[in-house]
Amino acid sequence: MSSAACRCGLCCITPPLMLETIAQRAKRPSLKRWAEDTLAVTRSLREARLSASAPDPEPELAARPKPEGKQRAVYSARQGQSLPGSLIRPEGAPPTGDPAVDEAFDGSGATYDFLKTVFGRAGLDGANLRIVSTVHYGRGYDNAFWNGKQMVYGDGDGEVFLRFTRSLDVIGHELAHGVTEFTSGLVYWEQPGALNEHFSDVIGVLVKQWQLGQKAEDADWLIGAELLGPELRNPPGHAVALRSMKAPGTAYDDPLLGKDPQPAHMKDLYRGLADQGGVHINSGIPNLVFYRVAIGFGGYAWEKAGRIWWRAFTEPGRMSARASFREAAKETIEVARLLYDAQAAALVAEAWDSVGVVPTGVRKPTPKPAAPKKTAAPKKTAPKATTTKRAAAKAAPKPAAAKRKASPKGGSKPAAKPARTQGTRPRAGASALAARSLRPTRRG
Amino acid sequence: MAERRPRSGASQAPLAALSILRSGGVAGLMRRRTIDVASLTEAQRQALEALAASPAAGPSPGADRFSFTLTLAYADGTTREITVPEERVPDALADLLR
Repeated sequence: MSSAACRCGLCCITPPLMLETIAQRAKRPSLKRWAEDTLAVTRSLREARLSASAPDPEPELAARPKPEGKQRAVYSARQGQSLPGSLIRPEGAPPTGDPAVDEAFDGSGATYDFLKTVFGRAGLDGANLRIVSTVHYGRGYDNAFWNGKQMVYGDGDGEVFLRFTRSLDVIGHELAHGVTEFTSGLVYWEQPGALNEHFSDVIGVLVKQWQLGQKAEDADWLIGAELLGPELRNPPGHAVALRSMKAPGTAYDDPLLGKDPQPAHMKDLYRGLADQGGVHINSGIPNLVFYRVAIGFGGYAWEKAGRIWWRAFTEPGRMSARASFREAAKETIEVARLLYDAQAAALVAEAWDSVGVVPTGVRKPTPKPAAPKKTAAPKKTAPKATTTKRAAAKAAPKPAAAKRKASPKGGSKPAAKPARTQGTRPRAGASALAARSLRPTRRG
Repeated sequence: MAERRPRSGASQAPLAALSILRSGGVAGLMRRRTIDVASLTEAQRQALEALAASPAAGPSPGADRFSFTLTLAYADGTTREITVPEERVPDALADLLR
């Protein structure tokens, strides 16, 4: 579509997909680093361009030296859709009495403090980037989002959903999208997108548990419980939150909302095209893994489980931008071993295994391999032909990671690649895909 | 994303049905609506056709935004599916896609 048809300035920017592909695929570390560095520069240029496209409401800030510590600013869109809107509460200003403004301010402060205190992270970019939030976005707008530059919160319609700043875990979730953008850069599509969502849910619940001083076993592990409106509080429906990390797929079953579509196991993985390939749906699988790991360790979830996840998801060179669940499994298991011990790694491995995810690398032949790899087989071979005994015994996805790495092309579309890494069978035809895109596949 | 085989403008049958699936958002809810095509304004029809004729949208910045999947069914039995991210909804369709 033409850029003239767009309502905002964001959509006219072509993401540097080619660089992402190089950064993802390059085997030579120097080339990989080059692509990543260039991406980082591109990102900062994009930021600058975005800033330039809208008048800075605080021009005097730009002239000042780089701010130290926590720098928040909450704006109001005043029911419009222009961003960032009017500045209502800058850092250091007293509470305004407007709950949306003050919740966004306090919530982003709590998230900043959590990241700084627990993980030593200085803000979203690690360099105290100003934390910009806009509240009162749109009329009755039932959403909150990260637009690549700032957090945006709707007031909700008042009946089904209340204002989205009510849930601290939702605020933490949005800020974590910013962290992801500055670290792993997980592509917002299919499995890497579901991991992006998952990491945001993890940070969201951890901020809340940290704020409450709550142990893993005492927390509710719900996302967005506080923003459910009066319409959802009463029968005939049942709704406790937007998502449950403890029991994915059980957060609601309501005439207005439908049934919570989140799977809790790979066998129920959503393969449709809606929701960016199910990023908010399939995040249920890694969410349950994190919950089980946190409960397995016991105590404060941010101390061990959180530390493992933080490092796996943010350490440079660890999680790739197109990571599959299998890669996330491999990285979290490895980090658990690095940070703690074999027992911790086993706990993490068991949690992934319990949802049907086999870590990347597990299929690698051991010194006495019983099942020789058949990666040279044709791409669409039936699963049985390429599945190792071990993977078959676990009813787990076929070992496709090697194939993914070897694939000569496919970087032009983020969509197709990650899906295959977890496929237990050849992809269905386009028409079946289109039909499925209308409905989450639930077989469990 | 527009359907791969493009319809030629000359042989277009009239639009017979339109359904809209809104997905995504931080809640990840799917909301389906069917639109009475008779209620569409000329500007909306033109914007829909322009969308259907445009190339597939690339990835968008950010996260948790809504996404709209439009299924257009024509009187000659052909259908077309288009996915439009929230931030690329043309002004003419702002009231329809929300």
